[in-house]
Amino acid sequence: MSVEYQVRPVVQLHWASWDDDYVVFDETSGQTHQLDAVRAYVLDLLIEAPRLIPYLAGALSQSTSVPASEAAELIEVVINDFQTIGLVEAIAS
Amino acid sequence: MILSELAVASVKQQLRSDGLKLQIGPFTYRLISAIDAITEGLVKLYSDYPLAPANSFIDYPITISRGSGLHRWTRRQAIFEFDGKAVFIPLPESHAFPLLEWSMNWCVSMHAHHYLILHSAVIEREGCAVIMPAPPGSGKSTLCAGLVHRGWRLLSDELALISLTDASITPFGRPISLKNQSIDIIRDFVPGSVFSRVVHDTSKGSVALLKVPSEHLLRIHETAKPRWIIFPKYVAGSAPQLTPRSRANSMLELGRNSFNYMVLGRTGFEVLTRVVDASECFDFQYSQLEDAVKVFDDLVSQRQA
Repeated sequence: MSVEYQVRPVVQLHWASWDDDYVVFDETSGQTHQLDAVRAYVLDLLIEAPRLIPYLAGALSQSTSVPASEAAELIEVVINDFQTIGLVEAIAS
Repeated sequence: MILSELAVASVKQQLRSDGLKLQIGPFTYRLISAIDAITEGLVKLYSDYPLAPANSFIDYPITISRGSGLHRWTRRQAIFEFDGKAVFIPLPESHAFPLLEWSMNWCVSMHAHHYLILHSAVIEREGCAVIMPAPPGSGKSTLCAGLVHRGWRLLSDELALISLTDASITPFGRPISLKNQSIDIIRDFVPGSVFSRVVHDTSKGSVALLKVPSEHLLRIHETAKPRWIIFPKYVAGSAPQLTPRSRANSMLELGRNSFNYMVLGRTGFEVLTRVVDASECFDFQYSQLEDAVKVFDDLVSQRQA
């Protein structure tokens, strides 16, 4: 059994962006978060559907300048951050 | 009718009976107090503000009362009561006038949720507003006081009132609160400036309030659009330095500096997004007011170019 990650169903996100500078507001918690381009990209993928870490790492390395060798580690950090602030949760797939 | 058209004895009498009804920007206050320092401060600093008609709706009824019992005779107190209830801990009676100012801010920041309220100074020129949020000690009020005596109009020294419908900023110009060394800096920078009595040993140190130029009050109903968000910081001996900063981070800082961003929820987010969309964001470090005046003047002239 592997683990996927998804945006928590209760979360209601609203975005604002300026160049590569992003802000996301969660209407449910009332919290606002600043995101860099990588975090915004990953969160956007997770809004589309639950994802596995290898999928997210592959997409990230293809779409950005992050090397494939570093992408998985970076994704784990990002997912951990999202879980800490209550945006994302793990689900069994 | 403005306050200066009332005799001091009438001001005192109203404050001691049904209350003095003052119109300050979009709000009507009813002030009650038997403390002479309140009368003195109001007569000196609020002389150009309109009195509200007798049958006006009162937004904020404020009483600054004396303590009861032994405190009537020894270690006299000033107590802020809102709608009949004490809100803050009592302060020494000598702090009564600054307490009134803090109370007036408290009323708005706790209740006026038809605005997005930022803890920030706001000044305006040619319809464009500068929002200057900053923590205590950053030199925000000193900078604000200096600039409003060099061509900028005061919208507020403390509270930015932002419309929930079009993100315009409503003036709420009241005396500028200056502390410690800033008092003499502005006395020197603005010859002839009118101050309240200096009150020592408050929680903020020595405090004095600077009267708003009367021509600014004539335009107190004229809103302005946000154009710049500038986070000022006084750094002794530094050259003036205006540094662009992230809009996203500026938005978060504004949210942290807001009294009701969380209360307003999605509306607050959308309004703040509009404010940041419309604004260039900077950090500003300075040590000399004259330098700051030039930097702010350049902002306006470069916008026009």
